[in-house]
Amino acid sequence: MKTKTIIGLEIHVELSTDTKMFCSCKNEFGAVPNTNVCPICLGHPGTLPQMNKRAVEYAVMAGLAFNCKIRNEQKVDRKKYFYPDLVKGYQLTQFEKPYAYEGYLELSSGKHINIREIHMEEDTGKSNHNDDNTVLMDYNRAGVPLIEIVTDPDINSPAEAREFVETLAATLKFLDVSDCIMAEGSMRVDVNVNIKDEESGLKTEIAEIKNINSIRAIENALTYEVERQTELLKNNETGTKETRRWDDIELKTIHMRNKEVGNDYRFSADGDIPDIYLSDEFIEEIRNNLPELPSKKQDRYMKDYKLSEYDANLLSHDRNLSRIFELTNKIVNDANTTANWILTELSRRLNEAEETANEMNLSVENFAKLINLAKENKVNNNVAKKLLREIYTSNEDPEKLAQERNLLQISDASFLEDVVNEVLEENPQSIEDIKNGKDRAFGFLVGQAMKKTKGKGNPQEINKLLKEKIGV
Amino acid sequence: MNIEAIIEKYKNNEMSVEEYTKTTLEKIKSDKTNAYLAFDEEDSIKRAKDLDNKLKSNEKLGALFGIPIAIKDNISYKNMNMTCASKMLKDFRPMFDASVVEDLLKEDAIIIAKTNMDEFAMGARGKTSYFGPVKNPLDESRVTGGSSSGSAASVAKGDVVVSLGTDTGGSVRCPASYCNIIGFKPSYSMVSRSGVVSMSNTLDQVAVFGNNISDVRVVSQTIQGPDKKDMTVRLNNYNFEEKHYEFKDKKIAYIPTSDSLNHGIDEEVEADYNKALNILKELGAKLEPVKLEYSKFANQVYNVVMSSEVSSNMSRFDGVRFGYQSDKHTTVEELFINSRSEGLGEEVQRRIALGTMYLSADDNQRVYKQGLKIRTLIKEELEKVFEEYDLIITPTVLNLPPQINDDYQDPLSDFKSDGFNVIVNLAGMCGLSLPVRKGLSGSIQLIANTNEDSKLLNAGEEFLRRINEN
Repeated sequence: MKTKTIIGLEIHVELSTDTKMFCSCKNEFGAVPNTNVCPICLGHPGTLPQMNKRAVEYAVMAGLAFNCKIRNEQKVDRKKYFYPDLVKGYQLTQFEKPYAYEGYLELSSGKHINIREIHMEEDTGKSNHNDDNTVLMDYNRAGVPLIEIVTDPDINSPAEAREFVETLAATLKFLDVSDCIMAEGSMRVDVNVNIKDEESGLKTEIAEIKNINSIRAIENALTYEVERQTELLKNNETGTKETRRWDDIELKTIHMRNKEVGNDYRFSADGDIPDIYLSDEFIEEIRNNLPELPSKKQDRYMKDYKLSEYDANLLSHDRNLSRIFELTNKIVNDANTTANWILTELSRRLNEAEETANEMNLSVENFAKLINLAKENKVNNNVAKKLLREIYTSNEDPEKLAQERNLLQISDASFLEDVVNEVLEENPQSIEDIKNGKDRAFGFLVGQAMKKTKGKGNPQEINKLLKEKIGV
Repeated sequence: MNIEAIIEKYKNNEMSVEEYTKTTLEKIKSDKTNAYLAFDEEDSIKRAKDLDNKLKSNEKLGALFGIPIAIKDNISYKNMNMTCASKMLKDFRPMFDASVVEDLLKEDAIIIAKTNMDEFAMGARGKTSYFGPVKNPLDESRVTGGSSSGSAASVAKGDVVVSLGTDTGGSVRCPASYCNIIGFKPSYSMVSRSGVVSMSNTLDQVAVFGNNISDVRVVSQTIQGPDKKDMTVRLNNYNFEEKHYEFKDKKIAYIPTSDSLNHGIDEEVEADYNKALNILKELGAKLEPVKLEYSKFANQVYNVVMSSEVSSNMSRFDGVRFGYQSDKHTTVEELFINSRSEGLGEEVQRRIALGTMYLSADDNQRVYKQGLKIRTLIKEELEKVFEEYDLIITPTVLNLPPQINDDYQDPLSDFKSDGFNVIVNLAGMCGLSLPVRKGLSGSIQLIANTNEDSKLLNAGEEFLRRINEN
């Protein structure tokens, strides 16, 4: 049986604005329940929404990043249902005219996954279920700005779904419009999946899978679901249109409820928010200020800087690292060496300090100077690494520091020749060993010479001299 | 006494704000019409004393200095409860002041009382209040009209000189007519709705009762204008300029009493309407009859649009976070159903049910969508009239106030007499109800185009000047 997997995604992303969508309450995760609330986000009688302009800007940024068309005329609708976490009895959302539409995201294979629409809406509060069957409501999340991204059913494998979500999250994080942490609920992914037997044309009914809380789980849940539905087809069954949930412990999807008739949300325009007109100038300004996106940046790094795909990928997906890379390389002018230093030594320091590259005290100038010292053999690599530890926090001039500490590498041939002669005199046995083919003895002699120079001797120079003297 | 005269007396030390406030409170306490739901003597007297001190220290006085103002109980004032005359909110204390209340307080007014009303502003007679109906001060066997029943009574009785109501489809102009005082509904978006409980939020507007135009003007000037808390309100200040309105040679449209829109008009109301038309003629106005095609659907359209908006605006009252909570529930669905069934009255429930039906996806919202279309047609039709005419004159309502104990069976009958009010709200324009003679009688309404509120008040002032001469 030849089957085709058909997957569509609905992804809710919380925007990381300072304040909520329609009031000035703080938008933060993990606060004490019901502390970031006010009459507006609690839906008290007489309150009216006040639109957060920043949320609109973030939403438009996301839309443009995914190649969407942005609508000039924005309309907000009320979606009505009763639930304790829904303070007004309706959710403000965009039903009729989503703000962004007809976009796509490109996978590494070059395949485009079409994004049908993105709409803005407000998040609901949260029900906390207790062991004793009571439910406590927390409205801190009520009114947090969300965007919902809806794809066409263009995804044909669990791996593609994973890559789509990974790339989407990386892009949104890169733009700083969301932190996209699935475990904290700032990104929530619902998947719709069914299978088609390409020979008989038979299709399974679409299953929607909820409660997926990691990117890995998306792939796992889909892999499980594809197998389950393929089994159905083998038995000439199509299943039922249903909602299932992913159980991350049992590693399987579990039936929640059948989806027979759609809910009637009784949509209508929200009269409290007048139609909002986003001018072309407003949209273009956001477009012009949009940073170069990771995939484009990666291509450029590989093409212009000749970086490996691995290095280019790592650098381009971190907005701060890529910025440091470009600035540092302007001074060093050696992209591979610079990338190497950033991805190894500097990354270690950043991880240790739990900082991002824009938070560190070390200036680009001093960091570049350090790389140059090593590159020009003025200090050896080990010394350079040690120096980085120091200047990472102090931001001292590494050259001055090396001078003060007498750490500048000695490449003076006559001085090194004296040292090498001394070492050879003291270790005649080693010379014999080398001549008998014991390479390890050579390393020992280099080490002895380095010791005599207190680590400042240029190891390449010492190597050369030793080889000349011994005649190997 | 008008506002200007009262402030003059304060300035001349003929009376103190405290004395006048106490006198007003005495009237409110001895009220027999059921006009008031809350007042706070301590709060009001303390404020009066503060204002007296302000006067003594020669500070600049606000435009409403020491004026006690009664406000409808769907407008938030954090020093008093806000019940919306419903069991649902019978103990609800708002956490903030409505923007109009902030504006009034900034101009040194005193919020003296919260007034009775139809429950959640739904009703045309003032009879759906959880706290009982309001009696008409002109004839206590009759209703005041609604929904701003208590605010109308408070001015008609002379307890206060001005009061605030809200007008969604005539809720200020109808009781103004029944109580024979002035009722002014400003253009939509003239006044902030922040802190005003929504009934039908694309139609609701805070509106003013008074005995003379100059009082209505100063209150309107105070509460108008931009407010960052309401995205639908105008973006710049509006100037209510006092200016002589010359009726001579002005083209004014009227609806002949033979027109179907006037069908069922009460004889007395008809006579008063004709009297008003004659006065305009005497003043030199060029009166011409107009035929409104779509406005005859106004009541049905209003019913559809209003009920639909009501159904969503009322859904926040679910018994979870505030307001009445039924103790009869084992599931959350029961909590919702029982709290709403027990906490909301019949008329409110009827409108929620209708609106829920109109918005249902079942028939693709056919009726609702049709209603929105005709609403636009009504607006365009009126705009077209204003291309040629300066004002429209209509009866405010078609009847005199019904008897309180008249238990009518048809709940839609209430809407019938409000047709000329409703078109103004549907079109977002401004309307002014004016008495034609003393005592129980018919009133007329002048309608002006959106944002011509200043002109409308000036025209009303000239009309009343002429009436008072006679």
